[in-house]
Amino acid sequence: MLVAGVDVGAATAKTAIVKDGEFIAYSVMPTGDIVTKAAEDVTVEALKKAGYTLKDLDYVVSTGYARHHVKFTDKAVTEIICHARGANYMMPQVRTIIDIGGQDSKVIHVNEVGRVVDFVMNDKCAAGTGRFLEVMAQVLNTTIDQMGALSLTSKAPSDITSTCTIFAETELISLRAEMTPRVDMIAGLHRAVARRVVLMGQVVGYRDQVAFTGGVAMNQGVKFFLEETLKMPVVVPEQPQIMGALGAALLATETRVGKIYERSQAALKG
Amino acid sequence: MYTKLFKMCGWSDEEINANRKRIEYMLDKIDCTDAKSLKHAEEHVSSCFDLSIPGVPQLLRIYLHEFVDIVNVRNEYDCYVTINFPITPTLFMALLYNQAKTGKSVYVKSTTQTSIMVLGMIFDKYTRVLEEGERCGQGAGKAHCGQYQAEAGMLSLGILPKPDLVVASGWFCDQAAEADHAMSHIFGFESVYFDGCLDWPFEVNLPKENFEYSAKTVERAMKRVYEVTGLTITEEDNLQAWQSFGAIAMAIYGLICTVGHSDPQAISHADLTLPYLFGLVCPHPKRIADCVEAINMMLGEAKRRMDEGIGVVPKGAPKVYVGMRTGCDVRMLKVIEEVGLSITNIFIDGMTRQEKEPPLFPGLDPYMQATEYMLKRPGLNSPCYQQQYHEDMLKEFNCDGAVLSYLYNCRPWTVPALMNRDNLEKKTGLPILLLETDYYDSRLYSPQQIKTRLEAFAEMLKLNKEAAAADA
Amino acid sequence: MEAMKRLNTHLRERPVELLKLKKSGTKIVGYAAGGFAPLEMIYAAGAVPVCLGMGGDPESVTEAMSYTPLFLCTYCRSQIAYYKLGEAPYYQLPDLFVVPIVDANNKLIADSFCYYTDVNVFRFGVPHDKRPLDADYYKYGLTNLKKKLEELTGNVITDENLKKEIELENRRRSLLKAISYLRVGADPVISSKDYVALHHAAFYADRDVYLEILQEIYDELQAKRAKMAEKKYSGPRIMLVANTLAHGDVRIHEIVEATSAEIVYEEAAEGMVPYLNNVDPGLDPLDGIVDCYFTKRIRNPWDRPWGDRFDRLLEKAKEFDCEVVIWYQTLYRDGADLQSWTYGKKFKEAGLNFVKIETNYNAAEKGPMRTRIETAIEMLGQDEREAAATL
Repeated sequence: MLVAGVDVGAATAKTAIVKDGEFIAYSVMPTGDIVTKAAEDVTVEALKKAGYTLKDLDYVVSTGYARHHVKFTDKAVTEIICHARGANYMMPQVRTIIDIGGQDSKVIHVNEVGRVVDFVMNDKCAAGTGRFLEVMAQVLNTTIDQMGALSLTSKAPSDITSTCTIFAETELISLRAEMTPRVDMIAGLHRAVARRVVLMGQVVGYRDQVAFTGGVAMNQGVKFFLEETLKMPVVVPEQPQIMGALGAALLATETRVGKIYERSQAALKG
Repeated sequence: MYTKLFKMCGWSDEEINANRKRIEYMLDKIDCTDAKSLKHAEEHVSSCFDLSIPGVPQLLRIYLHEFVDIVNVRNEYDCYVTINFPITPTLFMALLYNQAKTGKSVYVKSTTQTSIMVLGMIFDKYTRVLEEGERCGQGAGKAHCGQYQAEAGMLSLGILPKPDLVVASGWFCDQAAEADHAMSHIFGFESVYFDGCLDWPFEVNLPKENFEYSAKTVERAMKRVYEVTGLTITEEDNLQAWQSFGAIAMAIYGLICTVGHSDPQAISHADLTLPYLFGLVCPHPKRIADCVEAINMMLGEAKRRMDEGIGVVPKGAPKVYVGMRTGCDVRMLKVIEEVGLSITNIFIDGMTRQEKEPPLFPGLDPYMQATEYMLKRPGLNSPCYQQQYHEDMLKEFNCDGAVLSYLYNCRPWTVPALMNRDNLEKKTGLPILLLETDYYDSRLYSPQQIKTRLEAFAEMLKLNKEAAAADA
Repeated sequence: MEAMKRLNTHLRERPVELLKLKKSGTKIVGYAAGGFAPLEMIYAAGAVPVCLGMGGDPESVTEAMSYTPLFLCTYCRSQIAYYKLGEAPYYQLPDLFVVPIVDANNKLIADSFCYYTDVNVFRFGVPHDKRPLDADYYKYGLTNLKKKLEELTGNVITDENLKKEIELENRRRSLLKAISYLRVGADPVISSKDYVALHHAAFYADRDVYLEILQEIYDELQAKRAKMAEKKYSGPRIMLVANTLAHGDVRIHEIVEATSAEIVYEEAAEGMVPYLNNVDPGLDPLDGIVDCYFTKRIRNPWDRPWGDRFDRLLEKAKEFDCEVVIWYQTLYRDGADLQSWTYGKKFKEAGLNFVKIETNYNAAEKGPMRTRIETAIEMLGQDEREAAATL
């Protein structure tokens, strides 16, 4: 059985391909302006890597903020459920998932079978998201890709607001005027994001082990400050941004919405 | 390590030595035990206040004493009751006079208000408690009152020991009492209320039924205080409390009025915040005399400076009335003075017309007396009563404009903010600057960011003054 | 439903009818949507009540910035904007606007109307506590309201009149309750969106027309319910707890409608007719109103002490077989937010999925709202998935 999980996020679209319960391929590309096209393109590419085409798919689960706009999907499931499942597949020992994406951030408490026990998600405010770092990267004339490595060289991270993007931006401008080293400002930003997210997640709590997923998880600086704030290690899977897509694909295989479930139900009835 | 800080704040070596354990316990709780934090506190308190003014270190000394008492309260008393904002000083002082007579092991204090002042103005350790408050149900970005967010944080961090009873009030704002009630569920204490409905008529009108209902809720709450503490308020206790409170209030009023009419402004309102706040929270009865003496020392210094023409702003600087003085952060006041504006007085520094009149409810009922005192303060009843007060203050101090600063997370300030500006502009014709600020949260506001607006406003007032002088 | 269509037609024509009534000398009395202004008293004075309780429109939130700062309840601050924008006809009609004051946020409604409009505003206090002293103060407010209404209309509100009106309002409450309870034990025979619309219709509709239609709706739904299987639910059941369900704010309903779940019980402090209790006809009319409107009512999220509010909400969740609680609050309504933290934990401890949704009536918030609500619903399906995985 060949299934796909398609995660159409604010910044990137991701597809994971699972065949007979085994993860075999994935692809990631920018979402761009047309979400429907991004969903299709990224899925075609992932299938191509595995040697298949869209026609070969038995079932598709979409997720991410544009999950309801994926034309070829069989079922839309929220990214929270999908992230939990994907992370559980990759890291079965993980009980807390911190997911920071382009537009939002979440802390998810997951049990031993990948079931979401509790979750919390940020409000509209961009503080504590990838978007926050993106805006700040522009202010600091750098790119989001470079920020992680740069921040790790800081010896004195700046004290930057953790609650508001607008205030943080003003603070950065003031700090720059005071000739504060750029690396310290970047490190300060990462610490601010980490503190914001950790505070938000207190509602659900942090249980060992903690995984960090989503696009921002590729930023080593944020990971470092998450560990510093939480005072516990944080693991990052190899491809942190595809957990949602992978989880969606696994759900397609496993859940009552998937054909296996339908078949098993039919078998039971038979 | 902390000796220097405490001596800067007026403590003697003997006092420090006698209280070492208690001080260290307090410093540990507020996370201020390392040299860096203590050095920062020394710099912070020096930047907030002019410690060379006679009376200022003495007042800081009293604040620190009160705070050390609060943090240590569970080590020293069997029972403790917190009275929250708006604090009715005569009631809790009367209880303390009763406690002194009966010798019961009970401590009663406006613990939150006093603690945030010390954490904010001396140690600069407020952000930590706010963050902790966010973890306890008062999340960021929801405009929760900074004072109650801090209370949650202080309870969670053990800075404030868990009280046996919290006396909260819904008179000024229902948010305060709601927050205390939410915390009572989280931390497991009991809360009772001085109640009110915020239903005063829009016009200046003080219906006696509103006072009567409020006073009865005070009586109801105080009955519970009696059940918990065994303390009651006798006529004698009440009289003593009013005498003590009166001594402090009149000393503060005299000082603030004197400075308000000085030109150049003799003492910074940052420094005046210290005596002013004792008008809200009142020190322990055993420190009343010290407190009055310190305020009078400040008054003496103000008069000396006035005689010598010394001030904190240039002579002839435009005079402004200011909308808010926060209890834990004087930086905003300093910025206003730095841009060359002379602050005459600040909201609720003065007295309303109605406060100067004979009592509506003559008699010796301590609950009604306390109720009438509080509810006749500006801001605690009719919207127009508050507007009338603003107008009166601008007139009384011959102001050139007003900086109507307000706390974005404080409902009673936020609700009328735009109406008050509009009304004052129309009624006085003076320039009014509306300024939205935070209680303290250094992650959300910086006085320096507001400085540019204040500078522009100050320029405008100065030009207005010059133009008026030229016309004359 | 045919009756529902008739009700909608009536509502479309109602502003013009009310305008005609006003021109003919009938007094129109507006009231804030907290359910503390007794309609029987307004009717007994010979006036017609109209609720000013619209919300959900981002334009009014933006417009409100001219009159109030941002950091106050979204619903409360948008009320002055509905009046100022002039597009909501009901806001232009009242000869008197009654605002029972429940907290600092809704005090803003009274203050802003007093300051920025010529509308005649009457306010009275709704204490937070519910003990006899507090009930007496609420009664004092009602006594003043009675005087005010008599002044306005020139009619004396007699006990006899009041009792007659109480009977009719009891009928309204009883029918709304009966319709709500048809949702117990079976898939809902009426969607939550339609059910809340019935409450919102009560804000404006002619009462005779309303009661007649409501009776028809009830009869029709009851017949439908009688044919339904007991306790066989086609999807998860949701309890919606809101501080305000304003007229025009249907976002939560739209999101839930697109899922397999159904909202089967609603508790809103503002925006619904408090229908669980009736005024006891055996009591003195004013005492009966205090008892029904104030004492017996489920406490509001900003009331303190919280008293038995949680227990009563949980009781309703169980009675209606709900598995998910959607806690819906307007931004900066501090009382609701303070309570949500503790209540969220308690609902979870009681085995219910709890999801908090906050609104600023902003179009951009719908996506994250949807993700939260859908997740809370999908979390229920996980158990079945686990079962399937073990097959």
